[in-house]
Amino acid sequence: MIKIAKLLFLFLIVIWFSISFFRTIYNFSKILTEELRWINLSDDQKRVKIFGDYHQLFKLIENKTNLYSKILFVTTDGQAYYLGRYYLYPRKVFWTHSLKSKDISILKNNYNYLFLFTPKNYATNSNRLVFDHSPVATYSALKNLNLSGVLYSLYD
Amino acid sequence: MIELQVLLIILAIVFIGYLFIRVINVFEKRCLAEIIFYAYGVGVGAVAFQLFTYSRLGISWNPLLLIGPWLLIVLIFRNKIFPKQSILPFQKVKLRYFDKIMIVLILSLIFFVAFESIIRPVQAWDGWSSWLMKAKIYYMDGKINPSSFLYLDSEYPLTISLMSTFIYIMIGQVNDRAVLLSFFMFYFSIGAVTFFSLKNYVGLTRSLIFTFLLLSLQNIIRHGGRFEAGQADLALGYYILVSGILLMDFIKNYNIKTLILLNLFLGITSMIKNEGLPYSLFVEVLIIYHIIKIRKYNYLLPLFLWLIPLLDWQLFKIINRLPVNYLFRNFYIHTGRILDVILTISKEFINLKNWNILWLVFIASIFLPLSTKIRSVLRYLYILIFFQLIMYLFIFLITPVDATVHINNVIDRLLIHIAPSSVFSIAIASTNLNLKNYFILQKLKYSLRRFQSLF
Repeated sequence: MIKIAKLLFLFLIVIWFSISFFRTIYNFSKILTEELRWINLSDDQKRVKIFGDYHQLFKLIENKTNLYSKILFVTTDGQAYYLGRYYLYPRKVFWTHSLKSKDISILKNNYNYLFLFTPKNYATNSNRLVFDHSPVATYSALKNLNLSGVLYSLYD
Repeated sequence: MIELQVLLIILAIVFIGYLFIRVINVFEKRCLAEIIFYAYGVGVGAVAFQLFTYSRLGISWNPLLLIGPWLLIVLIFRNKIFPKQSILPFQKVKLRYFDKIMIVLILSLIFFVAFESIIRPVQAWDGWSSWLMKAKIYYMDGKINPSSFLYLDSEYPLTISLMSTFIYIMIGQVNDRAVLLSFFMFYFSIGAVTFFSLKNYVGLTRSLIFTFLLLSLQNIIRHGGRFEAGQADLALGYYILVSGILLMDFIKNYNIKTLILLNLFLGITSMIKNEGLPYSLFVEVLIIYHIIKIRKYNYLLPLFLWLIPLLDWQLFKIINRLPVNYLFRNFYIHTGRILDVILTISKEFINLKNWNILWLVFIASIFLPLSTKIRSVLRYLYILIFFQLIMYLFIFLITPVDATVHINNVIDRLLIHIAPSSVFSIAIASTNLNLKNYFILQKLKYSLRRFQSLF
């Protein structure tokens, strides 16, 4: 019984080792098949490959907003909020799913910019006041036609 | 090149940790190559604590002001810093053909992961949304602003983020690609510490085999540099492994210098992620038990190296009204979930893509008949691993979110904390296998020698 247990354990180690050995060779082959193309890409190109259209979007917001401003993101896209927070600091990014309960004076007291991500979802009567402002910038995603954003300045 | 600059800074962090090890005068008989990988762990804690302290004292995070104190320590302890000891472990050892193959495989893995870590910027969600987010905030603010914790709704410890901030300060910019080398260094260190420590228990060949098996785990490779680098889980796995090894060393020899280093590591472990805190607390309980057993009550003094940073951090959280961890905001233990939680966690144990068959082998190794000597060595490792598993079970019993969703999101990362220790325990359990008793292996060995003789 003891010898069987030891033999089984040894068998498992050999299996583990074999899988690891071939996996290591496979990993190494990825340098030639997948990874080499990354070496010659610029930093921007790498970020576009990783983050897609978000990279261009946040670069646009970065260029169109003041450094220490507060931006309210109106979106259901959580990744946009968390990634925006990372990209845009020291700008502070805040998040709400909708504008239905907000009015313009509260927005102006607390934020400097309003970013509506996929704004066509929010074109209701209660938001018409917001849409009276001229946008500072608009963005349409290159790959995803449903992804678009409008940036409004709330400065007077 | 920015990567070279980061490498030099990592070397500086290693040197800072090395200063601590030389001042404590532990590891006198170990080669330099081994000490380096313990020194990295100490150095990371040291620079993080330095930035944290400077911020609270209003001292600028100027690179000269950061490096200055360490240069002073070098001057004061210059006679102790460069002792005569060997650099490499192989100077007096004859390597067999198989050992050389294993070394090539291990070095290939290390090269692969290092390469992976520098070709892409951080892309792991928690990497850019949490750990490197904080690093960027602290760098751009030039200090730790308590309001940043409210902004991020986070009360996580700062060590890993401050390690990255230190690198940003030294290179003068936020570079979330080059900084991943510091996360790769944890991968390298886990492998090195495993190899050097296992060598004392299981011999050279087996230590090489199990180091290779550990470093080839896909989840560890991912967190070391391929896609998932930038998170704190591999770092915590490193600190848990080192603390476990030092605990076993302490229990074997009751050497106070080992105890001092162990408490340094436990202090840093508790400040990597919240999961490190209960682990460090449990290890301290084991330490206190042994101190009482040997009746050397002066050994309680080194425990302050763990206690002071921990209390300091808790006080900082209270004074600055940091948010309470979401797990404890509406504390309730959902005992009805226990079966679902166990089943969902168990699925990860058979995730071959992440873990190969590590967990199957680990379970099999527990049931191996072992000698009393091996069992006494393994006992504490098993206790620590199972304690950590029970703690994760507890987390999922109290989580306010859907337990199944929560488990599926995090369990692969939580198991990284104990994976290195599990491989270590499997390696020690394998010492009971006397390979000379297996005829088929004798045949294989004979065939390999004949093949070798052809060259």
